[in-house]
This record gives sequence, C-alpha cells and structure tokens, in this order.
Amino acid sequence: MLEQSLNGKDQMLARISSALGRREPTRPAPLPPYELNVPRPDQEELIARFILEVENAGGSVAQVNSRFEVQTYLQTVLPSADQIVALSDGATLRGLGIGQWLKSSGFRVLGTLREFAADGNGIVESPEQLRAGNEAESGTLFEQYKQRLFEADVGITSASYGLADTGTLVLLSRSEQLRLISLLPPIHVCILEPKQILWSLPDLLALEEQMFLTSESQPQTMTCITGPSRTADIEQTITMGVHGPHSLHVLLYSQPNEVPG
Amino acid sequence: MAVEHHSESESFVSHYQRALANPTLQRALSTATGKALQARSLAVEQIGENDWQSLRERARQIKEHTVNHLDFYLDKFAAEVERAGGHVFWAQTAQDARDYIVKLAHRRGIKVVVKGKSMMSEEIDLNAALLAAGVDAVETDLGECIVQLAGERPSHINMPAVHKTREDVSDLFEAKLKIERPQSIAEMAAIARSLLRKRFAEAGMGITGVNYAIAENGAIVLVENEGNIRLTTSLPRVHVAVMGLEKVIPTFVDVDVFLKLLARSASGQKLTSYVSFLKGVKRSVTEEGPEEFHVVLVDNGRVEMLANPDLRESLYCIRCGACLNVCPVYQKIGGHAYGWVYPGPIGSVLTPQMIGGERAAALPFASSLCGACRDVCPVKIDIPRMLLHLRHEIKASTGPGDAALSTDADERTTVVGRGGAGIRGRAPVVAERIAFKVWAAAMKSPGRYRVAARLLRLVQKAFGAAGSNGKRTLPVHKWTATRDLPPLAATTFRELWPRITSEQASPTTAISPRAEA
Repeated sequence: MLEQSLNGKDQMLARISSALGRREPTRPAPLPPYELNVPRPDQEELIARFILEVENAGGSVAQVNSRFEVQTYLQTVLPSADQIVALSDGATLRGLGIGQWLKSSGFRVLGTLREFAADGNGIVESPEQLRAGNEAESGTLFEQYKQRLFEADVGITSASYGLADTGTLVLLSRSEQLRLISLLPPIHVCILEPKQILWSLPDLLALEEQMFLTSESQPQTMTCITGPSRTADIEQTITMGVHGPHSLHVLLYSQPNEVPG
Repeated sequence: MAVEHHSESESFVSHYQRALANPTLQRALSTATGKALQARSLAVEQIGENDWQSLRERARQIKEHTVNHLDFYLDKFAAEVERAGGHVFWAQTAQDARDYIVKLAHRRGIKVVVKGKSMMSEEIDLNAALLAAGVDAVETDLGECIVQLAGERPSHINMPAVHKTREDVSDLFEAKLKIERPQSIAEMAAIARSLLRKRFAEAGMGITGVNYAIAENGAIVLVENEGNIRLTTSLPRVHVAVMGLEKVIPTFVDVDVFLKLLARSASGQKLTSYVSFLKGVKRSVTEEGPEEFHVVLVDNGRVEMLANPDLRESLYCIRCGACLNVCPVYQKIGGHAYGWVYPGPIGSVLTPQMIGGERAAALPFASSLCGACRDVCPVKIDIPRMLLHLRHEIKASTGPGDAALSTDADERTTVVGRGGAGIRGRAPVVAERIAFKVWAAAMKSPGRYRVAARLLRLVQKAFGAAGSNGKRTLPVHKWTATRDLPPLAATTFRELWPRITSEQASPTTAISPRAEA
C-alpha cells in the first residue's frame, strides 16, 4: 500500500496554520444559512417547467399513463429488433414489466452488473485479487460486463428525482445500478414519475444531505443529467454525443388514476 | 511528445507580437470570447441582477471563510475521504504529486490512464511524467485531446482548443491519426468518440481534477458537458483526483451557490450536462465504479499565497474562465502568450506567485487595469488590486545598481519568487524617474499646477498636431508609438470658471475666494 508517513499531512497542516497566523486548526463558527427567494410552484407548474427545461437542454419528454403507452414509445426508440437494450433494475421499470416486454418482443436485453453476475457470468474475483492483477483482464466480471455494455444501443433507467428549474434528472447509484447503463449506450431512456420532480438543486441537496453524511460511510454516487452529452470544443459548434448519449428521452409516467389534471 | 512549455527563449513581447500578427488566431479569439460573453450575459439577465449579485457575495463569503480556515476544512475533508475508504496524499510539490501517481500506476500494473480535463494536472506536468514512466496518459476531453495531439498546452481554462480552427483540427487528425481528412466537425467528434472509447475500455486508471471538495462528507463534485469525466470515474478500477488545496468548501448545500455561478460564468448554461457527486468506493465486485479512490492534495505554492494577506484571494478562484473572456488583453493575445498554464487576468496573478521568473514578472504590467475581470468574477476577486500589488512588489525588489536605459519592461531582470525570496532587479529607467519627479513637483500646489498646464500647452503646440506627439521624444517613443496625447484645451476649466460665474452674476456662489482660477 502506498502509505504516506503521517508527517506529510501534519507538516502541511502545520504550514497552513502558520500561514494563517495560528498554531493549529480551530473550528470556525459555521456561516449563517443562505437561500435565494425561490418560487414555490404547484405540481402542475413543476411538471410544465420540467418539460420545458428538458427540451431546452436538448432532451425529449413524453407523458405516458400506461404500460402500453410506454411500450409504444419504446418502439419508436427501438425501431429494429436486432438492437441490444441495457436495462437497469429500478423499481419503476420492474413494475412496468419492461424487461419482460423487451424479451418477448425479441430484443436482446443486458441487465445490470449484479444480474450479470447472478447469471453465472465472469470469474468473480475478490478486490484483493483484482488489485494484484493486471488491467483489462478479460476474465474479470466487471471487464466482461463492460465489454457487453459497450455494444448496447439503448440504455433504459429510471431516476430518483427530477429538477424542474433546470430540466435535470438525478440518478442515485444506491437506488439502482444505472451508472454505466445511463452513460455507455448512445441513447438513454429515463422513466420517472411526476411526483418525483423537485423545484431545484437546493431542494435536492437538502434531501440528500443526510445520506452523504451517513456515518456508515456507504459509497454514494449522485449524477445530475441535464440533456444529452455535448461539446463545443471545435469552433464553439455544438455537437451531441461525443462521449455520453447523443439522445435523451424522458418518460413521465403517471399511473392511470394519478393523471395530473 | 514535446509540450510547448513556458520558454525563457521567447520573450513575452515577442510571443504576444506573434499572436497579434496572426489573423486566424485573432478571429478565433474574438469569436470564441464574444460568444461566451454573450451567453454569460443572457444567463445573468435570466437569473436577474439581484440574485446574481447575491450569489456572488455569498460565494465570496464562503471562499473567504473556508480559505481563512483552510487547515480545519482540509483536515476534515481528508478524514471523511479516508473514512469512506479513499486515500489522501498530501503533496507539497508538483514532484511529490507526480511521484505518487506514477508509483501508484506502477504498483497496480497500469499501462493506460484516461484523463478528464484538469488544469491542476497541467500545472504539475503530470502527462509528461507518466509518459516518461511508460504509462500512456490519454486526454479524453475533446479540446484537451486536440491540444494533446498537437503537442501544445491548452490556451483557455475551459476551451482548451479555442485557438484552433476546424481546418487546423482536420489537418491534425489527418496527420497524427493517419486517417483520411475529416470533412466536418460532426465527423471529427465521431472519430474522437470511437478512438477514445477504445482507450476507456482498456484504461486501468482514471485521473480527474476536482471542482469542489466537500469537507463535511468527503465527497467531490465534478462538472462537465461531454461525459468523459463520468466515463473516467466509472470505468477504470482506480480513480485519482488531483486538487489544489483551495478547492474545498464546507458543506453539501454550499455547492449550489457555486454551481449556479460556474456554468453561467463559463458558458452561459444554467447547469452543465453532467454534475457528478462522488463519495467513497465500492465494497463488492458486483457494484459499479472504481475499487480505489485517491485524492492528491496539491500545495505547489498555495500555502505561500495563503500566507500573504494581500494576495490570499487568488485562492478563491473557481476556474470559470470569465475573466479571460472579458479581458481586452487576453482577447488579443490568447492563452499561450502568457507562458504558463493559467492565462488571462487570473493567470497574471497566479503565475508570478507560483513560478516567478522574468517572464512572469511582465504579466502584471500587461494590463490596463480596466477592471472588467473584477466585474465578471463570480467570486468577486479584486484582480486589478492584486495586479497593482504585484507591480509594487516587483518594483520594490529593485536594489541600487546600474540604471537601465532600456524602456522595454521585458528586459528588466526582476524576479518575483515565492514568498518574496530571491528578488533582485535593476533600478527603474532614468526617464521614468525624472518624469515622476517632475510630476510630483508640479502637483505640489495649485499655482504650480497652473503653470505646468500652461507650459504643457506650449510644449504641445511646439510639437505639432495630434498624431505626432512625442514621436520626436526618444525616451517615450515606445509609449507614444501607439498612443496620442489628447490635445489640451486652449482654455482650462479653471480659467473658464470665473467667466461663467461672473456671467451668472450670482453673488453667493460657492467658490471660495482662495480657489485659483
């Protein structure tokens, strides 16, 4: 292990304290809280604003109220049956029976890493074994899974929240294995329910603050997605999909008896 | 691949003159900065002036508070990272940081490293060190990829290839990738995507910078539009994040203030396409993401900046690039002329402090102090004040010695080093000293001022019409080569005033009888 003697840290902290004119770190009184005046729109306004912002950011939004409508939409995204679909394990997706529908429609479906492992794929190595080995060992579970995922045409996930102010999808790795499924395939379809939409980032941060602070120090990954991948690095001309997906489809799914007025 | 380093062999003057004489570069800079500024303006308008100013004030408040307690917050951040299963390395010098990362790559048997855009990694010259150690460091941000192929440094903080036209990039791809010449930007992006996906698939380590490091929970925040940072932090088994000491902020909720300011200031976006909040590492092989997470905290001169209260606010910078876009100097000379990693106004403040040297000492003088940078800075950094301060430090470093007759600022050998060590210089130019003495003398009383004004009018008449001012006056010809002395009025305001007031015939004017006409 690459251990640094405690001196490296202590030395630097001592120099910083000294630069600040003190002998050692002192706990400061925290800053007073801060909030901009934020609008508090109702559910209808939230949804309308969310849709507008997602579209401004280059994504497309469809409001769907049934399994059938979801399937119809997916068929437009998946015109040919020889496409590979990566499907994450979000509860909404399971509830909508998307996996079963895809398979029965003849699509090749790749699940999550966990599902891939459970299917008996790959040689599951311990972290220690992985560390000792070389990179790109095609035998390792993660390597095999990644290779397969690189070939997927579409990735379907759900989201934990939406942010109306910026048209943002919020994906949490602890809720669903969607980190790579939402990133590697060139098309990303994301399903969420209108009730999951918050106004903006401060609302999200307030909700997630505890989980990130948690003393069990469980790993956390939160990804905020606003529109498809883009770059303007050549002559400031916007090009989509240089690394992440070039298309983002958001399906706002309301249960039939929950259709907003 | 040779990188165009800050070179002592080409002077600042020669470099920027070359830039000014390059019409392609001029067009590229003008278009890029113009677009960025326009987008920024629209974004600021959209959020509203009041909210914008409120955010700037709060951002500065957070940075000031954090930097003034940097020991406490860094200690806390490091402890949280380690508690979540990460490793923290405290690198005092760039060499320390490079050594740690290279050793890590070797010990893990890593041959290919993918990199997200990181100014810090440029600052410590990481790629060259990895390459020398037999590790392939692949830049994945499209702009960085382009400059890497070209063997150049990035010329802007967030638009690395702003100095390149599409033809330049086409030529580059054709020559370096040995492919048929790409015909369109879309094609070039597609080529980059395909090429880099292969590297992503084989890389054992991903290296990124850090936009924000959250002290209270040990998470880091990374912003981007392309998705290469998400790939860099999710695919390889080891993730290394290099960060300057000043990137830490106190709490999770503080991030919102900075995110609202950053994308709008940089490119006029409300939010970048992707914002990643990363904390900890996976505990089992059936989880996604890296197995190892290392944070390299880099000093490289920052603690010395911290120790100087006049220059401490250099550390508030969030690297948005707005000051570059708005700076009339940057807009004309581009990033490479600044000679090091950080260009523009913030570069002119950081470079003399961090690397010192003759070339860097010229930078604080290459400014009209217009203050546009201060106006756009999301953290309200007073760059002009620091430029003036640096000018004083550089001038004050002059000792007794031969008076240089040269008027070329670039030829003075002043060295502004770390913490003021190693400063030496020549006395100011004779003509300059005389001019200031004369000016000081003339300003000592209203009577002298009046006489001086009359004299100056005579002198100006003697030297002819506007346009030829000073051309015959040798010591200042470099100044007057590009400036005209505005023609002095035939009658000064002071001379006019008594006539105005006597015409109004008001006996109770507020002029003191002692005020000179």
